[in-house]
Amino acid sequence: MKSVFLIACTLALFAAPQKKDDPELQLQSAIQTENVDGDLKSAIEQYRKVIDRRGTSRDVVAKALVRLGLCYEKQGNAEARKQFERVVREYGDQKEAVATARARIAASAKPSHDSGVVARQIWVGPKVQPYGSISPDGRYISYSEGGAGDLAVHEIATGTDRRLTTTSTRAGDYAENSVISRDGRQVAYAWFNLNEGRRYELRLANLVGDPNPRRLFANGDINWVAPHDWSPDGKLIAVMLMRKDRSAQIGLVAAGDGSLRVLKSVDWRGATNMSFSPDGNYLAFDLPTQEASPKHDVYVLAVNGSRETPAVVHPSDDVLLGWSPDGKHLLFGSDRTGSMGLWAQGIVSGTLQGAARLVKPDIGRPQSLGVTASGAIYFGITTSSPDVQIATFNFNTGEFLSPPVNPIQEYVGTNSHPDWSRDGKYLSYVSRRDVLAIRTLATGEVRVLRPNMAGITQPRWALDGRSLLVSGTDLKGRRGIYRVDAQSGEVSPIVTAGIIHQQSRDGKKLYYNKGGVFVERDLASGEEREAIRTRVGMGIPNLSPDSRYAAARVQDPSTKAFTIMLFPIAGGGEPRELFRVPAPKRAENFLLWTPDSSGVIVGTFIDGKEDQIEFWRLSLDGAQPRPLGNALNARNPGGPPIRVHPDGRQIAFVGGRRANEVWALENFLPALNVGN
Amino acid sequence: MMLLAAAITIPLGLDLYLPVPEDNPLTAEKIELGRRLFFDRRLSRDGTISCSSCHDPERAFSDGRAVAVGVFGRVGRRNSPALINRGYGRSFFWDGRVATLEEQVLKPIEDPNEMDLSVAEAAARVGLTPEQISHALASYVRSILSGDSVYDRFVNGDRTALTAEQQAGLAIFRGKGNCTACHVGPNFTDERLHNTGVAWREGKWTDAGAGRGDFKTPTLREIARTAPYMHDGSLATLEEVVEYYDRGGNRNPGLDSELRPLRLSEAEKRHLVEFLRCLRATI
Repeated sequence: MKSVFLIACTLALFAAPQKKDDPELQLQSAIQTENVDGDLKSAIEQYRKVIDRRGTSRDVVAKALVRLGLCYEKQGNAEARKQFERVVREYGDQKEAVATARARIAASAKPSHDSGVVARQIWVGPKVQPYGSISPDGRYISYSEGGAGDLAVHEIATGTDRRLTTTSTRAGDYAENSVISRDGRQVAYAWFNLNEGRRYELRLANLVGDPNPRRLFANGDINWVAPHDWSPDGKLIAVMLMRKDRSAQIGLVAAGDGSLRVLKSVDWRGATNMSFSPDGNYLAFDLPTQEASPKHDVYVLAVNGSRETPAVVHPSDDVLLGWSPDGKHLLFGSDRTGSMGLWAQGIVSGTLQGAARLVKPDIGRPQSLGVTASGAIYFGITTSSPDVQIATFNFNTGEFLSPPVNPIQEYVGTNSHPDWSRDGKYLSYVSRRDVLAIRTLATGEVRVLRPNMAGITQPRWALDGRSLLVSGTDLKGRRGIYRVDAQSGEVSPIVTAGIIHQQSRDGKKLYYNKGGVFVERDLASGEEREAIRTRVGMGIPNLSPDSRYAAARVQDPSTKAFTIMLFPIAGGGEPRELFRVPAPKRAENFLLWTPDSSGVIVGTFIDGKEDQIEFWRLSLDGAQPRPLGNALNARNPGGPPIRVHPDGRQIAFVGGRRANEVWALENFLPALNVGN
Repeated sequence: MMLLAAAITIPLGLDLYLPVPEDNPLTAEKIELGRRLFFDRRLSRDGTISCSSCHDPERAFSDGRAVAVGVFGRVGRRNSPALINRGYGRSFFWDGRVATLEEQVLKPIEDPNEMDLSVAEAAARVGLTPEQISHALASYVRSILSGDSVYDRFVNGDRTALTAEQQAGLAIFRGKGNCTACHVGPNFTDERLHNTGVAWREGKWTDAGAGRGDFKTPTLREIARTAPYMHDGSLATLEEVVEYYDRGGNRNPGLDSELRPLRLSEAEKRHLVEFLRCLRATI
């Protein structure tokens, strides 16, 4: 691989006359310093200059990062892995560089007899979900299937997967967080019950034999519940609850009768992880450090409510991973060294023992799946993520006129929800955690707004170009539609009940979904009217660019057949069927209007083959639906909608695939006990 | 219900974890000592005032007056807050100026408008140290808990515990009324400071509170028994309180952004008051 890389670079060198300060030329010079002169220190400096230089193309930066990592690797410096991880995380489109980086990461994760800690890749592939749990014997991982949403278990030794629930007869229901009991016999899981009250329930299923999924806990006053751990005696399940007043609570549900005992009420965002101590006397959890902070600290609470210990309180982000099997150490991830590492804090009977110690650096951003009885910690990490892409698209043929490119080079993998300003001069998008970025297309300059919100999706430019309307969640957990000033980032609520908004062409009306109704709201007067009453099986209506119609995907509850319906918004008239999807295909929820409002593009697919989408162009004038192939499949199915530039040719969307992996860290217990 | 260190019982609806400082663990003996001190008039200069004078258990530990009255008939400037579930509090007094119950319980003893006695003198009168007084009174206040109301039974799963009117009021409380923007969680308070405009009269502050008219959100537990309302006791009834918020509070330069006209119907106002009245229990 290394030689292919060098040849490619060398060929590029001769492809065209280049200036001396050309980044690619500088890269070649650095490679010469590294390989010919053998001067790693100077080569590192040269690679860093190439990487930091403004305007350097993504392929050159990715190559330079790989070379930089290789230099560090030769030096035995842990910085090597950071460079490789950055390539994987931020330069997913640079396939060759990513392949090299992945190979080096895998090599670096092989058992190191010096440290004693072994990092082992457990599970890779499209099914991997980082939210679930490992069985105490290390045989199974419970998870929620990405497609149908069923609860499933993955057997690590055989690589086989088995469903424990069946959603096919209950469209709209799905499983979320799950946790396997300490005896490995049951799985507790959150279940969204669309068909009975649209609520979350806590359910149990058997891991062995007939799964027999059954309800354990449901409460009309609780909006959301997530199980995190079983007590060692199997009698209690630690859960995170969200009440209807949006307050979050840490609770214990009795596995026998489903009764709830609330331990502690907390900030509405709640804990990301909770874990019982091996003796069952304590519950550890992490909480956000402040109202709007993305960072966490770790606490330990006596299960009888008598005492709480701030176990890990540090300016860094500290997330709970679990307990060592002997209960003497709390395991947590912390980015206090600059990247997330595995740390341990000694603790006995709720009292801290000594300072926290680094066990293994650079483990990626972990989502704990739990600690096995043998003391291996399992966690999921995301290795690549979709990002904003732009392309030129022919709405008549369904073909790209120019291939999709990633225009954003900062925080790659975190950028989403793009939108063009109405004059076409700006591209806005959501970046990192709730940062709203506005990119000036002519100069590439990026301006960052930090609205006082805890969640932002779908920023859409208002008509005046001075503000954006966003769907999102405020700091008190209220979902709604808010106006964000494009200069100051100041937030003001418009409605605090609805989601998914669209605006009329003249910018005077807002359309959004509120409790099964597609509502039209006059932004000046605040007056509302019911534009469309939605029904079971119907997707969210999509407004045409001229605001005259809305199109929606509808599934017949009895026949399960999909149709695309057209609803008049202005001028009256009856809804009509635009397209009947040939069985057994399904229709994708998102519909793309052509810029001239003459037609709608819809994707169809067969269950389980979501990557083989076939697109159709439907015309409002009654012409036959026309197949468009699957070029648009480059976008991320299920991601935020495609946005069309005012020129009617360019589109912005979120493209690429998310990749998750499950890893295990083993043999770190001896290191914990050194010096104890 | 759950016994906490065999000293107090946590009623239904409240968190099992009641924060208690490591250096002042709850004991039955300390709570009892604190209870006796709470009713002890020797802690005031003229021997006429005890903590219970302004925090009467019969009135859910409030006093029914607009503002507190201390020794020698001296009139304070703020309403005596109900001492309900203060063990879960994160700051104390209407302006949130004190961070712990141990510190808070000594302040009224020293306040010239309340008990007007130095803590040292008070300690000498009752034969205890200032720290013993502080720890005992704080322990007693921690033991004053209100839960297990019909509301608590309702949210715990008994969907018949609230009447239809009370349920309608709860829906307004959480929705159109926007009350949960501040009155949130089991104790119906976010423990934060807000400018609701109560102290803004004729273009100026009658009391700046914590700064620009900010006052701490009080609990709504036992609210029907703790009239009059607001930091200055300026609203006599729950109906008046609902009317005040329905019109969006007194507009002023620092008015909390959560306040805006609610446009509640008369029936909705009635239901909201009905709901508030159900937040009572045996203390």
